[in-house]
Amino acid sequence: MSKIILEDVWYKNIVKGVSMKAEEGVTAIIGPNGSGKTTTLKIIAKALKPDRGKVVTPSKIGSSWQNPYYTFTKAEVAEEFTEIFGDRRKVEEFLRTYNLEDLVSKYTFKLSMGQARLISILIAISWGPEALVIDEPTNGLGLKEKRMVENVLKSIRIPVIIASHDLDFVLRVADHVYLMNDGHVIAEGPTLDVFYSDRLSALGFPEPYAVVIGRKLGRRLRSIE
Amino acid sequence: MAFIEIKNLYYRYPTSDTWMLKGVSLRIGRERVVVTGSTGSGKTTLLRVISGLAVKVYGGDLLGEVRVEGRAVYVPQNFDLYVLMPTAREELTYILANQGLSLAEVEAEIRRLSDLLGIKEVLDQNVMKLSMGQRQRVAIASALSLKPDILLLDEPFAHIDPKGVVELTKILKNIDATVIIAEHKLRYIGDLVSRLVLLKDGVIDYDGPLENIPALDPDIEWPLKLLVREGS
Repeated sequence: MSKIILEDVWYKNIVKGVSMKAEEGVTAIIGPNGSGKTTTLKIIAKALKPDRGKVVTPSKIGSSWQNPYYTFTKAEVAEEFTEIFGDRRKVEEFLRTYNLEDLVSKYTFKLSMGQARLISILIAISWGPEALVIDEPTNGLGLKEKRMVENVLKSIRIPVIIASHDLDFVLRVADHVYLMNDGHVIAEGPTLDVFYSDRLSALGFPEPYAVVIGRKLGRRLRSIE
Repeated sequence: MAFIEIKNLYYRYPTSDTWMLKGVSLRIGRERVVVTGSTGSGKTTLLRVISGLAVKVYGGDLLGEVRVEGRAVYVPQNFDLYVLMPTAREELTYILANQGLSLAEVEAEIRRLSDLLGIKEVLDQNVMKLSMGQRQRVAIASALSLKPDILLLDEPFAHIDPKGVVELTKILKNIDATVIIAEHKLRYIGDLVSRLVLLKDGVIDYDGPLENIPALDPDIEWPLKLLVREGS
């Protein structure tokens, strides 16, 4: 089974001795702006070579980045997927399962930010990757689309690593969390353990609403739906 | 005096046969409003219409009536492209000097804006090397230096960490202008805005105070109502 392992990884003055492990399921990196989340993801995706440290990853890694338009290499949404599926009918079928069939014939550069994000994530998952790296999977997405991404990430049976500021989303979707600050991992563990510790408030992060309510009820909630 | 009146607005981009906005009517005075809705529902397009960019830059077809009194300034989602000069100080100096201000006036105004946005320490640093949260604030400072009556912000919280979101919310409360925000992250916005406009597929589905938001709407983070109470 595919795995991602980082051991004492350094990159310039940005990532300082990070160790991480991700297996099947969703692992999230959280932390303030500039803490090294994106750089860590880029090292995992082999877009950056670390100065030192050990990086073990499967060879086929799908990725989607903060600017989702970077994913696109074709003019039309259909062309992006036809390259993977081989035939346009299959593309339409595939997008229909996500209620996105309206986007089939759209120009990729004309997609809204959120639509581009969804398409970029779907491209990343559809060519059979052995691991997935996604930076800010929910930026530009409304609640309905967030739920869709949540279901997609939960249903694929490979290691998925996301970096996100969307703590409510992370709490719902991630099995394991790494909290970064200033290039270091300052806390890690099962998502509920990290979120129900005082680690987030120590950084000045307001707690997700589910945590606020959960504390009042004396239960560790992931969501309040 | 800032005033926006939109009556039965239809808008579509050039070479597109689908209307992005379909019969939108809105009146916005001196207030803070959040525009929300699914991706592709027309939030960004509405901001582009109000700012005048839709017609002047994109072209396309606009039907109906749009009246905007006062200067409207738009900060886009990709605010990276918004700041043109290498540093915030150069950016602000350029804009302010072009307004005919004296050197002393320019400096005073930069001081005021950098205090307001909390960017004093980064004024002389390369904008591209700042964190996303700092860049977003520099972009807003740049927009404010144009003395807008109406400030339009497209997903200002998208790239900012949770602490930064709370800080920016406080900053926006102190801005003396009509503020219209297109945003999905409503978690922290309860204290900032009094009115919410929900767009669905180019049509206004709800327009009113936060307190009366339809419960369980699939397009809105539903605990918002509770959040507003809790935050207050």
